[in-house]
Amino acid sequence: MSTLVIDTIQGKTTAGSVNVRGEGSANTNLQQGLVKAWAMNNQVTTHSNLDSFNVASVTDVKTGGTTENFTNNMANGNYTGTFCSGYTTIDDASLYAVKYNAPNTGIASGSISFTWYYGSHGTTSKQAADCSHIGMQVAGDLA
Amino acid sequence: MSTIVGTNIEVTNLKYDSDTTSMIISNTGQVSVKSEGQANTTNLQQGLTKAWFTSNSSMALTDSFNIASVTDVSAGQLGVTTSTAFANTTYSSTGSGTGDSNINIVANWNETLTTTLTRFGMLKISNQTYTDTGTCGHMCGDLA
Repeated sequence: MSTLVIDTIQGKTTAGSVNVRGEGSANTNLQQGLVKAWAMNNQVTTHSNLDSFNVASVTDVKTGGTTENFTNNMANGNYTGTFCSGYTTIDDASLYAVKYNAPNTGIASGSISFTWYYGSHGTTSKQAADCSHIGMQVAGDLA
Repeated sequence: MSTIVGTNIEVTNLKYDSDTTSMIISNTGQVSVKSEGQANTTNLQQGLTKAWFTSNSSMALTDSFNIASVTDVSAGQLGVTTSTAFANTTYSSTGSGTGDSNINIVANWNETLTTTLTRFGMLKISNQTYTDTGTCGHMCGDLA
C-alpha cells in the first residue's frame, strides 16, 4: 500500500478539471459532477435552512418564495436547480417548486430563487404556500 | 507545501497527515472519501451527478454536462440523451421548472427509458397538459 499526503488535488492540464473513473469503464468529470450547493429549507417558521452547503444566507421573498444566497457564486445563470418537497397537511396534490428570476435581477449567479406551489389533483388551480421541508440541489459551473 | 506534477501516480491512500486519511482508492478505482462527520466514508463515484442540464422555453439546451442532445418530442416533452451511457436503466432523474409557476416536472418516463435516453415532461397544472417551458434536470446512478 502506498500513501500520498496532500492538501489539494488539481488537474495538470486544466487546474479545475479532474477526470474520475466511473463505476464501470467510462470516465466522468469530478468538478462537473459535484453538487455546488444544497439546502433543506423551512419556509414555515423561521424561514431558514435546516442544513445547507455553500449557502451564506436565506431571504424570505414572499409566500412560498425563497432566495438562497451562495457563499461561492456560480459562473453564470445557466446552472440547474432541482427541488423536492414534503408537506404534511395536503394529500392527493402535486407539490413542486420552481426556479425563477430573483427579484429585479433575472437569474442571478450569486443566488437561486424558488417558489413552492401545490395543486390538488383533478383541479386546474395551484397556490403558492410556505412549505416546511424543501430539498434543493444546484449543479453547474462555479465562478 | 509540496507539489507533485505527473500524469500517473499509483497510490492507495490520500492523507492530510499520518493520522488523517481523506481518500482511499480501491483496486477497482473506486474512491472512498472521509465524511464531514469523520465517522463514515462515502463513495466519490456514487456521489457525483453524472449528467445535468438546463433548457429554455424553446426546449433548447442552455447549459449541460454529459448531455449529447435534447429532442423536442412533442409539446412539453423533452427527450434527453446522455453522451456517456449509464450501466443500467435504474438511474435517478430529478427535475424542476424555471420561470413558469404552473409547471410540475415528470422525469424518467418508462416508455422511453434506456441507458442513454430518458424523457422529462412539463405538466402544466392550470390546464393539465404538457407545455414547453424551461427545465432543470439532474441524473445520478452508475455509469457504464
